[in-house]
Amino acid sequence: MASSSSNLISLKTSDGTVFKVERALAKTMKTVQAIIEEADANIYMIPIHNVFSHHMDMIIDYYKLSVAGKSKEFSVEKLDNDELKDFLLAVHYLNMEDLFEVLTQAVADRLEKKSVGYVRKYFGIENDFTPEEYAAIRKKNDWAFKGDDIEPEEDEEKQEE
Amino acid sequence: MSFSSEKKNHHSQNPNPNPTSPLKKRGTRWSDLWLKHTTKSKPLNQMVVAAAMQQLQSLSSPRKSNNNNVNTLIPNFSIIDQTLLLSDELLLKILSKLPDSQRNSNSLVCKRWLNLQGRLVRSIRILDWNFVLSGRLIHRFPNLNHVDLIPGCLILTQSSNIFLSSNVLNMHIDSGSSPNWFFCEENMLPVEVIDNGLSALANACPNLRRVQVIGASEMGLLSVAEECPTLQELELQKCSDNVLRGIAACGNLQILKLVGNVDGFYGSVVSDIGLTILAQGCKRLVKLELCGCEGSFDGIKAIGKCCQMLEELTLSDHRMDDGWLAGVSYCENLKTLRLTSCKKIDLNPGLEEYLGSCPALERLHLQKCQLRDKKSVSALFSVCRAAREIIIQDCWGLDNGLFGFATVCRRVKLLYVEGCSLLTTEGLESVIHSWKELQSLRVVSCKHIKDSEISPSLATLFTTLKELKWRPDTKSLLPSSLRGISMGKKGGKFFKRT
Repeated sequence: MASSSSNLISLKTSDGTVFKVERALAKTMKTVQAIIEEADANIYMIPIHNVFSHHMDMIIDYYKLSVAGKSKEFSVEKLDNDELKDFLLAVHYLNMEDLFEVLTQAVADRLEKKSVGYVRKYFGIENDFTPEEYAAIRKKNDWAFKGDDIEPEEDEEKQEE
Repeated sequence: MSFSSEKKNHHSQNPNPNPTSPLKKRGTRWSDLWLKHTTKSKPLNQMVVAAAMQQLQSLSSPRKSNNNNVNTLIPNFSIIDQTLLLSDELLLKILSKLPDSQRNSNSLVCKRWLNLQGRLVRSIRILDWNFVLSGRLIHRFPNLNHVDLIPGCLILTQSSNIFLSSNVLNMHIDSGSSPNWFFCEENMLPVEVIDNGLSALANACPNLRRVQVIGASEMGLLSVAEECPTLQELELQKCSDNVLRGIAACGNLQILKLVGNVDGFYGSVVSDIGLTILAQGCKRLVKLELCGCEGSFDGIKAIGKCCQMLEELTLSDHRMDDGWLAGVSYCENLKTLRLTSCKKIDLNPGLEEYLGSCPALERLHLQKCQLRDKKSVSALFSVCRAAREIIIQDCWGLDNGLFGFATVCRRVKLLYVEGCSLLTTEGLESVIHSWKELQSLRVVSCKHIKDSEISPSLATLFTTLKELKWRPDTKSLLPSSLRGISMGKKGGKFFKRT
């Protein structure tokens, strides 16, 4: 491994930590790559907002696993919902395709087959339908069934954990 | 958000907006407006995000160091709508990975999700025609590819207790229906209404790929043809020659199903005129299905000569004039010929030397047909003599003599015979022996084919086959999962006659 600094890029996360990463890893982050390409000389340190050091740790883990061909072993199960969301946003900001796919699938897996109430709680979304609109849409979902069975009426307050 | 309240007002003020006005402004779709709004406010959102995230972070890291004082502040932040942080594309990506069964519950989460979920829907079946006419369909589902309008074209009667169905159409009728058997004609929307709906749909969904409609006229079809250049698949029920005039504009049509006449439902005529217009207009047809259509040799010949890419031709309950079979040989690229539910094949096919044959044919599939007539069957096998696969299911009248005509097909690799009760082992054997290339044989549920009659030479032939499924004594009514436990036999001993 060459000792020249041109093989390692310094990335400074929002909480001030500096990570030295290989150029190949920096290349998977399209946002960082764009900054490098725009700079004429070797840039000293690239600040990346919206990304924290624990995100960077996980990104480096994923990179190491994928280089070794074991990207399936990367798991985000230990993250709780909020942390997963933050991580997703960080990766989206850095524009890393593969890891982004993995994370959107992970979020989708957590949301799969959950009720309306659960999904609202998960994202912290407020119900902006009036009761009449809500009932109208509920009823209108009967006007077109798309080949699937019509959903059984479910209690929207039921929380599924 | 301010935009969502605008949408709400629109809903409450205009429950039935004028069908033409939202459609004239074709450029501004609601989804476009929504996107513009969010992208404009995106930088603001991101700033808010960065600030919110910093605060969240500063609160969550003490969590890790077990600072109890801070826990009381966290509940306030948990009600921030975190999906505002996710852009529309991000959320769409996540939503598209969720299963279809969750679609309905996702649309109830909030208005933005309703909108986004609607953008993911590609295929829909309409039950209420007003939904199309009022423009609400396009508002909710801007990205449709496949629309089935048929149930929406039929008027649901109030007390619909009786369900009438055929293989192409289902509907509810009530007991007060008229005694003449044309139930569909009375219970269908007027043609103008259907045409209006079609043009509304076409104007708003230019990416339509597949449409199914009943009772349209050529005006409606023309509007679809003009606005939707990517239309590939079309099913027209209650089709007639006039309607087909509108089809000529659908240049990219590949799969077409025309239903002219359905006994008990409606009657309309598709004849040679319509078939010729069709042939000249849709030269890219790959699959054509004609149900209950009339016509004759000229119509089929026109299709054969003009639609050079035609690979699959299905005739269902045809009412063609005799002599049509010779026209099939003009379809030079035809790979599959299928006849289903035909009461007769071709009672007067003409002289053998003028019949010709389909050079590229690979499969002949006969299902639920009446095969009693010698001339028909021999002409059919003669036209299909290049076939590699012959499938005969539930056909009446196929006896040894008629099956013997199949020896003219020399290249058969697969034979599947099911439900042909007049065929015996001897008849089967005499044909199979002449097929030197046979590799795969399936015989199911043919009650006169007995295991005891298998000759040694037939048994030897079986050993050369790659695939053999020999179940002639199976009663096909019994599903295969029950067959194994021989339920029918065991139960008998409990119910003895006293």
